[in-house]
Amino acid sequence: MSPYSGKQDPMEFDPPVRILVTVMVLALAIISLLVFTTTGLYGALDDALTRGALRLGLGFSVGAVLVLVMLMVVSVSALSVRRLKAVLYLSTALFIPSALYFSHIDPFMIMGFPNDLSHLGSSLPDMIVFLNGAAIVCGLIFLRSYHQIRTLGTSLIRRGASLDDVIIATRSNLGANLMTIIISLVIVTIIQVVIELLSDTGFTADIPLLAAITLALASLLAISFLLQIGSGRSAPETDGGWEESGDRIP
Amino acid sequence: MTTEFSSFAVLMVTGIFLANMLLVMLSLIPLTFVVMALAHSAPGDIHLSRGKARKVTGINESIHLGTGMEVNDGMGIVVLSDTLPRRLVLEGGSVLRVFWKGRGELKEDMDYSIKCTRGGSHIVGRSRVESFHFSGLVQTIYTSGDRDTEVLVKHSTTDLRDVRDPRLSRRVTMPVNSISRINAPSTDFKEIREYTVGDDFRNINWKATVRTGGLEKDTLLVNDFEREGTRRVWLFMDCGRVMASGPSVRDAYEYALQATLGLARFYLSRECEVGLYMYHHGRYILPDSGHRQESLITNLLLASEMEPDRETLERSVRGMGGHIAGTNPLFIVITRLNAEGARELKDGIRQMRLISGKRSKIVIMHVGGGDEPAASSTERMAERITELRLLPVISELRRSGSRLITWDPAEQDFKELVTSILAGRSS
Repeated sequence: MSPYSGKQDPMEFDPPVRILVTVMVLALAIISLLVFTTTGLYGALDDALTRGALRLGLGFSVGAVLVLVMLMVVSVSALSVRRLKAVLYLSTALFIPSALYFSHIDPFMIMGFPNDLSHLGSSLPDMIVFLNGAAIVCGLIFLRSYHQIRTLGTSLIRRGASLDDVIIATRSNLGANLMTIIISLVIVTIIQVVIELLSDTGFTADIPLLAAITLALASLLAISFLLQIGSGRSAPETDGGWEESGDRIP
Repeated sequence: MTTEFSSFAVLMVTGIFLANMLLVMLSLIPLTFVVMALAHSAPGDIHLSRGKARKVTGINESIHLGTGMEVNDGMGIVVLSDTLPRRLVLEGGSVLRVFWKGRGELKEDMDYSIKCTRGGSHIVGRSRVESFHFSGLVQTIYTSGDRDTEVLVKHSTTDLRDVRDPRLSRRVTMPVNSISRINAPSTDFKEIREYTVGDDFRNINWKATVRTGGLEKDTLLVNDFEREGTRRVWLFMDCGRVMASGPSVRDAYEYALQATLGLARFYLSRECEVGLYMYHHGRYILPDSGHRQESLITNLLLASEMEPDRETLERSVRGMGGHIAGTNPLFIVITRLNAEGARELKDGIRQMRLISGKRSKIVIMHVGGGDEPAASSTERMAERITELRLLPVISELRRSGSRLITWDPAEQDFKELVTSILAGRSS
């Protein structure tokens, strides 16, 4: 069984890292929530719900209450490592309206819905919305690494490894992962900034330019990705079926 | 890799489908992460080094083992481990170390000390290394060292030959000389008898012949001497489950081995022929004397193991009947008494007397210790009750004419036992 398979519930062997991860995920959820409150969708929802509440004689912003409730749910969920991923998915859901605003093809409009994607946009600068999305993607990658490392660490401790050894190794590993994620984010952000400078259109680039950039980048990265898979992934030297050592009587 | 690739694919496809530049750009993050992570391989180019291929130690002694590791390539977590055989107990250090291999070279050692609780040859298998890629995107690589280490654990023995206590040589239970008609005559005078064909002329007692008028009657008298008889000791060692007593690191079986080896060496040094039968194990060595016999007995004990109860003492004695009959040996049974095994023991003693005669000496050595020392008053009381349960067994065995010696290794050294109890008093 792979140590990453996580059949057993991983134990909490490094509380400071756990707290740090929780804080990061919570911060991400709060940022997504704040970005969501600047979108047209939130405005429309708030209007509709507040009007409904007024009819019932309640004179306050239902949207604000919803935000508070959501914050509470997110905070409670973050207490469990298993639900951290759910919190990130919730952040993704909150981010979707802002992201869809940048679509050139509007399926809602094509299907004849009364409100199209142009109503969903955030009032915040494009780069902030992009960074919010980037943070969510990075968070998902990091959370996956964290879960893997936690499972591995637990398995090693159960096998008899010293806690100090495991903590040092897993923290270093998480650090390396985080560094790689940050570098990836910086690279993509630089690419975005360069595109903006070259085309002066940013995320609202025309379809031909967008298609050209997309195709070029995707091809380039896909090729390097395939090359790296070929060179980086190596077959195990043994199949893991080590011989059992034991007593031998002369 | 699934998470990264699926998030890349979902974002990219959605981005292209909706002509959404933001989603396309976001899809590049997981892709860039994968590419960058795979730029480093899992920790590899690993060299393992271990000390001597064979280490010799004694029971309950500690030895140090260690493995040096050098990792020159890759980035990630490296797990170095050794697997100890069941009988070796980890005393200090760890047999599983976890290291982080960063950009630089990794050079680490894994040192630990082990205690050996059972004699024999134990194999500590090759060191194993598991290399985990830091991103978890690459399969774990397994590597192992190039050689095993053999830990040869010698039984602790008590050499009674160097005991200076004069009582030992005078009063220790020794086998009776057996009657022999074919061995060479000794210098001990036996009697004067009539000459028979084949008698040595040098033994003719001329004075006695003349005095009795033998010359006139054509009858010669000769001096007869005692024939050299063999002094034979049969050690019957119990290898059954009863010897695996208590949760102690060192059980009664180990002490029994020590006692057997000590006794065998002692009697061999006193010119006795010593035979060994390991009942329940079914292995034996026929009586003989000398250094070769000592070596054979040592090797047999070294390779011995406890076995499920399959052969009673009575059956073992019966099996050796042909070798025992007519030799009048000293029997020493090394066992651990319990109420259930008393009947078996009595049957065995009866069989010994049946084969070798009523004059044969039988000593039963009861290895009484070996359990963990009682910690609480309740445990002490339980111990006492167990001892009390043995009283009827002990008195029954005494009635059978055998001599019972109780040895509690936790309280008494084997040498002390031999010089005090064995040389004089029986308990």
